[in-house]
Amino acid sequence: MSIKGFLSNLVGKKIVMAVTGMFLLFFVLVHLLGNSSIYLGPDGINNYTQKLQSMPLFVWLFRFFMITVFIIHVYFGFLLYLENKNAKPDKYAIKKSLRATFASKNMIWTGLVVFGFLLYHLLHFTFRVISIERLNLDFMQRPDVYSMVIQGMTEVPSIVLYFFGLLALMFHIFHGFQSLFQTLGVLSEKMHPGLINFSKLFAFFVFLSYSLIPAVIIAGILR
Amino acid sequence: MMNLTLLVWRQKNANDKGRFEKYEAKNINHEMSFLEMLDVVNEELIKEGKEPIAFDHDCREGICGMCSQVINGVPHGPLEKTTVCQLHMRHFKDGDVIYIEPWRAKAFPIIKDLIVDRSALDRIIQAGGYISVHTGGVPDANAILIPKEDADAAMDAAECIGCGACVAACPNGSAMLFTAAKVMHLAKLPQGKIEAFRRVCLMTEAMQKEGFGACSNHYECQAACPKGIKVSFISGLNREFIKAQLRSK
Amino acid sequence: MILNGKCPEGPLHEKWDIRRHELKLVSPANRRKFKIIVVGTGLAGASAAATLGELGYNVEAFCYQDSARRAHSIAAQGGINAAKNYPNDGDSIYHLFYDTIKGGDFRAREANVYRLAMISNNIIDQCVAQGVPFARDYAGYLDNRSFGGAQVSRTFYARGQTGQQLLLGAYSALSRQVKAGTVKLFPRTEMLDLVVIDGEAKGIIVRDLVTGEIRAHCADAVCLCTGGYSNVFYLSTNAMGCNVTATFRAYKKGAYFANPCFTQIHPTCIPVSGDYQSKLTLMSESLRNDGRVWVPKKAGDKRPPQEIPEDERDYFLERKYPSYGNLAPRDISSRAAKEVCDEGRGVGPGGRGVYLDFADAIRRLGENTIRQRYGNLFEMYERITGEDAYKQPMRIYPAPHYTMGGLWVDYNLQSNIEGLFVLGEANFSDHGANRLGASALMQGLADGYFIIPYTIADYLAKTKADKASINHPEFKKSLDAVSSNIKRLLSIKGKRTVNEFHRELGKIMWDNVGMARSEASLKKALAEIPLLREDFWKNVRVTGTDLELNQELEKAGRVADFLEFAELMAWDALHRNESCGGHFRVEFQMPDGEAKRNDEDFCYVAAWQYKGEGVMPELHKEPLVFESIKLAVRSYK
Repeated sequence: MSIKGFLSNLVGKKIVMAVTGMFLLFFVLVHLLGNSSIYLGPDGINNYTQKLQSMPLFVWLFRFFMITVFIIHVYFGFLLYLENKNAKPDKYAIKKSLRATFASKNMIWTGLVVFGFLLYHLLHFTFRVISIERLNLDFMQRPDVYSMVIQGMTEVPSIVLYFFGLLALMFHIFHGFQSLFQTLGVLSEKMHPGLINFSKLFAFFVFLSYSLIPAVIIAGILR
Repeated sequence: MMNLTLLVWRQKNANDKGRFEKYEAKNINHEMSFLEMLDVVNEELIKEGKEPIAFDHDCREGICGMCSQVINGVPHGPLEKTTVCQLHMRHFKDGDVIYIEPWRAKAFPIIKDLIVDRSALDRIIQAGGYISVHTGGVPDANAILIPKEDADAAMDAAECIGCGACVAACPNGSAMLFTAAKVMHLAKLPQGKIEAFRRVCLMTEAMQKEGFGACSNHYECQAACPKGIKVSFISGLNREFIKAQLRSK
Repeated sequence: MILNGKCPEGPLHEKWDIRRHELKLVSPANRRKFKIIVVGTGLAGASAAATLGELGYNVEAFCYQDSARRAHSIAAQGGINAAKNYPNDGDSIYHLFYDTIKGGDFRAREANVYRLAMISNNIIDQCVAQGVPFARDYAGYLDNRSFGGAQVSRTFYARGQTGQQLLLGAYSALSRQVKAGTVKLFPRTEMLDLVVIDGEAKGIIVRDLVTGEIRAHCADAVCLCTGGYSNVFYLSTNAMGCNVTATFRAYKKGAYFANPCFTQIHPTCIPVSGDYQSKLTLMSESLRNDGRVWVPKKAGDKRPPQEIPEDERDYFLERKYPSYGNLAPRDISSRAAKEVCDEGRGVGPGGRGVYLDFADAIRRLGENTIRQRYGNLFEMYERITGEDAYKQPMRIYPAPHYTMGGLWVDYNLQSNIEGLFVLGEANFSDHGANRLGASALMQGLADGYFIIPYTIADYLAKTKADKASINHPEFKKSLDAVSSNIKRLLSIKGKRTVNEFHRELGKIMWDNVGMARSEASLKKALAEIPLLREDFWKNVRVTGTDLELNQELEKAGRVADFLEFAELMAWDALHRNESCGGHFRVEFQMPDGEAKRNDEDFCYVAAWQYKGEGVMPELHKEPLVFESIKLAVRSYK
């Protein structure tokens, strides 16, 4: 089958979703790990930032890769959404969901919320065009990301948006994580129920760990 | 004995818009099957000079896959692993209101009332759901040894009755469970392995061409399947598809 | 007239080879010029259409269901026989042949049955190659189980769904030919007439069940694979749509109908629960491998089964037939059950039922083993009755299940009309007066895969391709007749529903032409059927119109044919003054109640020729000659 044939096949499209989803999940974890350096105080995260800035080629390659993956994921997500909608034009008067979950039925919406949040997040912290915070240099002449984050996470609208973004991400992963294993065909019948449970746990873990940062900032533990 | 209110989808033909109509089913015995209950309603309708409700049914023992009704939002009704014809009225209560609708999916156009056209499923099989063997000239049956686990797994998949409940239940109108069941039935057997890669590509292409959606892993299909065909076969189909891609490059 | 089955001369085991050498061939280049119509897509029809398509003929296949995969062969549970002798328990082609012909109470053609036994082995090979997932042992070899009427294990099975798996195999072969373009499928299409031109079958008239269009299809040969007529009893294990229409219309066009009174009543069905009952559900006969059949010794014993002590139970099959016990053939087991119920010892509501008890087997083998063997059957039983058969015995009762009679065919499966071939249950050929379990699947596939491809070529080689055209006046005549019949049904606008008539006919047939028949009961039926038929044509209400999907109209046409056919069955039963197999005449029984055959006067096939509605048909006899075996009393004691 040609690449074109693969990409127009509905199983092919699902595999694209699964593979790109896997990279995005990977990014979510790497980002979490990077962010965790904030717990080490200003020294940790500012150091981390400086390290990254010292390797512009790597950072830009990485960004380029992630953006490509992201665009593919969104594009095929939309494509599948429209095709699937088209395959079921008439709705039932009553429809009981037997196994489908809130998460599985709303992937397109949670995905869109995550997309919106991501844009906001980039504009907020990476390009810094939304907020009033400025990225100053700290006493060691490093970019003071630490202060910027602390400041950013004390503004109520920002916290609310952050929370909703994470919630959407949680539901998205909740379905997406186990779904990617199913789509890539690595699930055996025995592993299936276990993986669904693990998927839920994992999504919750992502939500909790990302929420922890604003939580500790609000609680005043990091200041 | 019980009395029920039925809200049944009536549609004269493919071009008609269709609507729900209300019927009272009186003096229904608990031992009746759901279809026998509809028989009783139809007999009354005929006597009143009205058109009876058209619905597909044949063997009435849960194996031909002809019967196809969504009952209160669930294909084949509330009982797990049961076709409509094997659903008995003891699972309903006096005074229940029951919605009866046809399978709904783009690939299953409605012919009349509760009857839909499922020939798309046949065309998926025609695309490659077979082993290309001619009659005669085959080896002795015991010349092909098949591990019991493989034979059993193939049988698990082969139990599919082709009713289309998986499509009816799927929010995407996807026939993945149906297609996967056939792909995996044959892929599990040594006789079927030879054409396995070609088969999975041809059958999934045919499925798309017929207007079925893709699988979003909702797993509604497994829950609605009267034979309990497992979604792990869909995972298996995906695996076969990936293997086919890697092999062809 | 004395009919000739045209069996080849020669030793029994060489007859089929001899015939195959005699048969003419059609060259591959010429095959596509011949068009063959196959009606019905069950085991016989699907396998025939697929194989003929593979050979390169131009095939058109018809079925009334929405897909070829749904024909009622799909409901066969137990298995398929073959003389493979894999278990090394002494089986052979001869044993399978002998069991089948003895099971049929020596009313089948010797040569046909031997050929069937020979071909049985090829069928298993073919099905395995197609991917039919037969049960296997841990070493990967095929597994066998035993079945009624045999003392060896020769039955191959795929859980409790053997018929389904074999049909899906044939359907997949058929689908492959549809893709290859050799077979054109016409689902939701019902055959309503056979067109005979100058004594040769050259086409059919069909109704498109979706649009209501009446259409003619011409061909160089026609194969009817349209199953049996058990639904003449209204309640049977057949699918709701099973009908006699195709074969009966062929009969009206001159094909002989053979042995219509040979019907099989299956012993292990779920009893009737009420008047609304629309069909009966069969539980595989394999249940009798581990279940024990009993009733209370005392008539009218209303205690629950658990409370009836061992010494107050009558295990009547084990008592009467010690060597076969619960595995006695179907007709014998069914009649024994009817007898004990007639004595007032039946169980369950209405007293028409006997127990099939697994308590001993569960004690001996454990519940798990029983679950593995029969799990799906126990589930099915619970779904229908709401009772748990692991805890209390099942209740079973006999039900009409299979019809051995059918259109008369010669050794080549060709009827007396040239170019009309009849396969599977629709013909009469292989099961005599009673069919053994796991033999129907065998016959359907043997006819379709391995016999018709040879024999039809012989006919085609002798005829010229494209002789027929739908412009022939015979087609026009048939089209008009079919249309006016439909118009007539719709114009009656009476007060009674089609189902009411069918139910009433079923009751007449079950009470008078059922498991036990007498001269009086048959005459009673013959008096009642014409009256009912007359009432039908005056009072039936068929709603809707002809140019749409109209299920009432479909049913009405089928019931109208049953109303005529029922008379034929009764005539045949009345003329056959003996008891044999499924045909039990109370006047002809041994002192102990066993069937008393009359080989002197009735060792023949009764083939009936249509002479007009309500007119006694003309009887033609095909004497049954047994060259290789001796007729024996069929004893299972």
